[in-house]
Amino acid sequence: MDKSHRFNTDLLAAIETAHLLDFSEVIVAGALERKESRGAHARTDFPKRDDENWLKHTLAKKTDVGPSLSYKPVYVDWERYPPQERKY
Amino acid sequence: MAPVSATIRVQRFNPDTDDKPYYDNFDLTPERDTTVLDALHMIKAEQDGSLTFRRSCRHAICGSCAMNVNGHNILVCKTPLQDVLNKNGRVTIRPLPYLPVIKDLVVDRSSFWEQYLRVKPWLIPPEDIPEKEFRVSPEEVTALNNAETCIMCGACYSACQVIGLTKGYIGPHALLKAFLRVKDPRDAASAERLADLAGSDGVYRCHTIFNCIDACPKDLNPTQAIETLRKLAQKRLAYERSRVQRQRSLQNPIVVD
Repeated sequence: MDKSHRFNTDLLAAIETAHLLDFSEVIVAGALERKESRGAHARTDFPKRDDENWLKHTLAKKTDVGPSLSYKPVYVDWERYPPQERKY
Repeated sequence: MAPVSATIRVQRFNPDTDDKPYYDNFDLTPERDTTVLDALHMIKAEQDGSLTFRRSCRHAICGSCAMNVNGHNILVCKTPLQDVLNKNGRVTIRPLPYLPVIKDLVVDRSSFWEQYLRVKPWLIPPEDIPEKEFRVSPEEVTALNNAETCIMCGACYSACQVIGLTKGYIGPHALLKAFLRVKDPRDAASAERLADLAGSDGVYRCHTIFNCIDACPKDLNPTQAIETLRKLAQKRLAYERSRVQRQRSLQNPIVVD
């Protein structure tokens, strides 16, 4: 283990791992709540995109009991770029 | 083929605690597709966590992991360990030469970036920019010789012996970028750029040693770019001189009576 005070990439990795754990929790909490599929967020129990309920950003705040979720509307230019389902 | 053990020799140095650099040997058993970077990761994870090196993308696009392996500057992430073993029978990893070592394989690249900024690596557009996009022909793009694919890894800079001797030299990486801007049909500052590049730290410092071409992991040709800039700088100078001559002869016409 690197215990030096200079360019300590071991320490950096430890700090980053802690952040990764925090963000994993945020991603899982947000994904469980978002009951639809959208892009990389793909759920077998909700395979369809649901613009009516889920055209919104998820915001997460850190609390003592884990992430607390709220939502914020997505800016959409309805005139020029109305949202539509992506088909590949 | 059964896995064979390999010995990796790594230069270590922590300026806080070591008087001078020394070498550590690490034995490991590589897989067929182990890269030199994988080997460093294996050593750091399994043998010595204090081994320090820069790396990020591990597919030759970020330019973090340029190191000197058996005397050649390479990107360790795209070099199979077995290739190095087959070629040299040994693996000695050192930090990029000519640059101050921060720790182990990590070097201080400040001078690299300072020289880079000297050539104003950004696009200086003309005053009358087109209403839509700039149109650039395929021929004009070909003339850039793929120079835009440079990933700024520092392999050429640290392979250049002129850099080793003359800290003022702008360097192959920055001159390649300067070439890119001078040849860019969208750039409006070619003349000023060429005037700057013709200074004592610029294109005439290059001794055409070709180490930069050898080192470049993207197979670019900084030497040729520098040669092209030299020719263009000469042309510009000749043009400037003849312009001054013309103006003089207009101001003081030779009167024959």
